[in-house]
Amino acid sequence: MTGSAPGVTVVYTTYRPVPHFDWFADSLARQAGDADVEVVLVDGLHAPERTAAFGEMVRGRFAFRHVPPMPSPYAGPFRRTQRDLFSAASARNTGIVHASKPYVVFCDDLAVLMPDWWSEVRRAAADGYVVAGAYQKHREMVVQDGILAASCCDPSGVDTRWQTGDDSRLVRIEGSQLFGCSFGAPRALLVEVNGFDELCDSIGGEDAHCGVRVTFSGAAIYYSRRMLTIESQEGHGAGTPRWRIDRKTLPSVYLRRLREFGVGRRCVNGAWDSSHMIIDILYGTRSNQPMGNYYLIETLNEAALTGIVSRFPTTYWFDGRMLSEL
Amino acid sequence: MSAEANCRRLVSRGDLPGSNGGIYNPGCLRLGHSIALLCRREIDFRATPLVFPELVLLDPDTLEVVGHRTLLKVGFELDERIEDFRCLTFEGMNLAVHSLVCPARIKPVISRVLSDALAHDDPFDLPIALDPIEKNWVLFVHDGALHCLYRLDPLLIFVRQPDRSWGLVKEKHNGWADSVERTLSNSTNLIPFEEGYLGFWHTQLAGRYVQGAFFLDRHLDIRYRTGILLDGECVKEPVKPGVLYVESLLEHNGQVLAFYGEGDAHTGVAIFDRAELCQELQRCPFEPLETIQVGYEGESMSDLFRAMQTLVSFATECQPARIRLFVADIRLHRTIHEMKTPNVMLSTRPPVMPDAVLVGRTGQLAWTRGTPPICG
Repeated sequence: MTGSAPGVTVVYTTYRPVPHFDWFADSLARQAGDADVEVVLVDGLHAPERTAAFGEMVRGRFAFRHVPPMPSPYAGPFRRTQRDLFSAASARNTGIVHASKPYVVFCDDLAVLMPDWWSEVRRAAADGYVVAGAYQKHREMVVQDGILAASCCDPSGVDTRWQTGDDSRLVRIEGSQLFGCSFGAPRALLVEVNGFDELCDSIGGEDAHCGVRVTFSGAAIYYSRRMLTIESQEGHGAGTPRWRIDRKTLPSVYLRRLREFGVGRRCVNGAWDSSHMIIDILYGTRSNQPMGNYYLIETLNEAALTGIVSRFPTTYWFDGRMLSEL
Repeated sequence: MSAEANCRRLVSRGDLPGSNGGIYNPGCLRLGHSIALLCRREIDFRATPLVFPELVLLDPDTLEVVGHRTLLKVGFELDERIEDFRCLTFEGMNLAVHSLVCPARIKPVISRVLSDALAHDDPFDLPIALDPIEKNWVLFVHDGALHCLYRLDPLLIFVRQPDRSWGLVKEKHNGWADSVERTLSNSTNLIPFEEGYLGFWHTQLAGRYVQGAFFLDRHLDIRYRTGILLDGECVKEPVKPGVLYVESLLEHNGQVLAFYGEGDAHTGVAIFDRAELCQELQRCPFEPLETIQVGYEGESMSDLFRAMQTLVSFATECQPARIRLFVADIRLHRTIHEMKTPNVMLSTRPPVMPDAVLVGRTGQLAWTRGTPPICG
């Protein structure tokens, strides 16, 4: 049963010089028409010139805000590391803070929305469920007025969940399968789980991590092949990369650190590294709350965002190494 | 005029990683130049054993947070919760008395506060019959020995012996508990103050916590106690509205800092001017109500009637200020109430050492300590 559609905030995140925002803007405007939608573009390269440029791409067709990511210890002007590290959790949480609509859908850069994307979002928003959109990565994309006119696709660019999906219906998936560049959830649910876990920043996997915590909250997640985006394969290699690190340590050190999180034994097999510890903590605590955020999204507003800098760590959560050495 | 406090929030729920369930109820220590708060950090609201001792360091001049770290829990089982750390320094060791929540009971224990760990150190076995839920035992150092103030009324104080057993040093009913609607409880460890010790008490009033101060003299008697100094009415936190819970005191730069938990969510401090607080205490001398403690021994209803006739005679002839009668079987309380014996208060928990025992089988009032009052 689909009710009346509430307003939707699309959180679009990028740190690339050329994110192909015009592809997204044209395809959204074409599909959403006069729906109650706003776009919050969280831009790691935020600057007045870019605000003007992106504004021209929007051309007033939907409500639009261009904002910098909230301060992060791993990237941007407030970083405590030597270089910019991957920090998608922080950027996406910025979008949740700015979102004014009751339903939030995330969309990464370099993507064009395929024809049923908005109708799937609208349905999910109306019924209030969590939806994970499908994606493919194509080469040599040609996009005209928001429509993919030509591209090349090879099997390696296809979403690994594709075979579990169905063109005609939603398919329920596990929390760990909430990944990819587009997915939506009620804002209240995202606030309840306090957004994405910044423990994942510098490493990655924040989307699946959030998905698992969403299921710990009792919510179901549905996969929609019709909510499809196509991303530029070449675009991923362009611009300054955001480095990902995955530090390792000795098993004894690892287990002691794990105990400090209240977890007495490992939950998964694998390396003694930070990405595995995040999973061990997640399944060991089975908490729907993140362990790496130093704020509550429910209490944050734009004015309070810079206030979190004073609470930044000076050492890396996993092994105590100084952030200034990373 | 009462002593006024300036209250301010120090750490909010969610400010530190893994504190989305709250960071509150702080114990307090001096660590080098810093003031250290040992807070209870909850990752969420499930009340699982995933609760952590978080050491929060404050700049002593500004009370701004300058650092924090989680202490590893050592000597605790994975299914045990630890809560509400009240800290003090004894013989060069930093200690915390805190609740240990097991599946079947809640009881305070003593742990050592180390630089990177909280290590279970002392089972804290007091020589009294315990309820399934025991909380708010507080410590202080008197004449070089570790003392435990178990309860304010009856004033029950124990001392830790060299073999780590605990011996009773004070048991005195004073009538304070009868003047409050709900349970009268300790709030903080006691700190040296003037020629004695300063502590805070609390009770609940219309669903909110209220806190005041008291002063224990060198003889371990309550000399002064203030009225309400802090009222949880101002706490609107949705998780636990009205809960303002002072856990620790620190004398600092002419001030008394009372660190508290706010709504089971945040940590704050109430700052009192030391001189004002001192004056306020002196304005409020404590006047105990003399009470004779009588234990009851009996089995049948005829035992009870026989005993109560004796007690009525005693109360009528001697007119003591108050008799506290301890009857373990709560089913008998209604019958006793209906007898309307003057000045008798009923309790279920027996005193460690009553003044007299009312023997139902013989109807005698047998005095166990002190001299029987001369009546008539």
